[in-house]
Amino acid sequence: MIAVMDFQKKYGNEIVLDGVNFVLEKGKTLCVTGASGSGKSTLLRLLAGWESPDAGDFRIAGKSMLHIPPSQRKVVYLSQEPLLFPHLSVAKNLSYGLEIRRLPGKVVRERVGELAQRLGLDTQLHKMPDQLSGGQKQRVSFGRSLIIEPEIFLLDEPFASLDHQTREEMQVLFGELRLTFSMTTIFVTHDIKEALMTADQLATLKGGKLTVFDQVQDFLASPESGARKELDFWTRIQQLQQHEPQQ
Amino acid sequence: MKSQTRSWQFAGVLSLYLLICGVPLLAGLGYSLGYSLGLTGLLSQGFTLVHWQTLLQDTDAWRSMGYSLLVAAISMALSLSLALGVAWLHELRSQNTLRRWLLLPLAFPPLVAGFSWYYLLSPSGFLSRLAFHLGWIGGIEAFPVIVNDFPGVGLVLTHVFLVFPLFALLFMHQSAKVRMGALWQVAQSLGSKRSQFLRRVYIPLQLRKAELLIRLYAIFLIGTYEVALLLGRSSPRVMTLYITDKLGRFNLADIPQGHAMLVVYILLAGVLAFGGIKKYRIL
Repeated sequence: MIAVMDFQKKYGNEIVLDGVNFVLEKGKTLCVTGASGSGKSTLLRLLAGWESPDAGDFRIAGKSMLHIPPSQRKVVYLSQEPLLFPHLSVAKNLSYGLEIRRLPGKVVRERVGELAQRLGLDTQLHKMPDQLSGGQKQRVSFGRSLIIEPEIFLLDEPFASLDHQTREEMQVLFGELRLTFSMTTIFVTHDIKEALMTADQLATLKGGKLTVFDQVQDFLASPESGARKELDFWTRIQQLQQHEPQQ
Repeated sequence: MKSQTRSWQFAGVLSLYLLICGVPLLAGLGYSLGYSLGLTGLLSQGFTLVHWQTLLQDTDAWRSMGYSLLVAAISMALSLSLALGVAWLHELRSQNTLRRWLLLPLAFPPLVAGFSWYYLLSPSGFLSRLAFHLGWIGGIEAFPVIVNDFPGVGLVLTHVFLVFPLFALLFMHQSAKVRMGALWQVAQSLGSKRSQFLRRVYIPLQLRKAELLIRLYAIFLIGTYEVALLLGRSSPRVMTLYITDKLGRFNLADIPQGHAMLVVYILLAGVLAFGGIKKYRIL
């Protein structure tokens, strides 16, 4: 279980996070929605350990992470850009986390092989990152993180730069992976549909405050989440489509 | 029509390039090869391998070559290490003033840089006088010999001064292009320590991207002339000095050996520039 308690962060006079609290069970996914600049990415950066909060605490299984360096937190961050190591092949990118832990070569090869097969990358292992499509790169990025079995995945709009079809494929893949690997994930997105598809728990960040919703209905009904507006939009589109043949 | 125009443009540019870069080089190589084989020159008596045999038996020639390679290798290793370090520090705390200061040494022509370092490091130079005035040495003879010395300290320092800023700026540019800071964060979240990241990602990535320029600068340093003339030793001397000595001597019988060494230098440069070129990959 992870717990974030009273996280606060200011840049100059601007309050970005103002007492953020939430608890997430192991193996669950919390989707955080919010407008651009609402502090979603800042929240993830604090959890990853790249920045420190002004106040508050962040615990994994009861242990405070605040003074633990990013490399020892077992918290993996994935952004919308896959950020693969450009001079390493797909296989070497996947095995990076294992090699730095000095696992035997045989174990590394076996685990890379298994994971590559599961991610549909088994025929791409010898390729360099610049020879892959956007979706394939993101798969490698996922695989590179999954292989080290982290405690938490921080996903910062990971599919935002993909085309519509690849994005949907990746959303389905993520759904499968989170069940298979029992991933504990904080998923940041401004796409309401994506949030609804991927989340066990939904939250919205606005004005530095995080509102966590117990029920999906609450999220949909809340003006803060923006879901109401989006639903109204789609309802309107549906109505227009229904009226069109009669005209 | 458009593609035909482009083909003509390409052919024009290629011809111009070959005319400026290829023809003089090939003409020089052909002339030197002919001279070294006795096919041309003042004492030419037809094809012979005697000049090459003389060169092969001349230990001074091979010591010159070894010395040039050693000085170039040490200079490149130091320059690249320093440049990688500076670019990494710049990555951690971006400072634009650093970039401006790095441009300064690039404005020095090699001869001026050589003189500057000579007057700084020579026994009668600035550092020696400073050490004397501070009472660290009793006289200029007590100042360590770091110009015209065998290890080539002055020579190497001048090379580093001339070469490292360019690579530092290149590595900074490459870092920005591949988003090294973001890669470092990714590596950290995968559990990587700084030393692991530097060894597995930062250094190999930078060196592979700069491979072609590193090769060219290694050739440039092997072929150094003015700086070696001022700060190097007379024995063993660098390859270029060996060649000019042989070519400029009154003894006409030495000239073909100079040409033979020139052929060796061009071949060496060719191997350094194009050896393993299939491995080049634009990252």
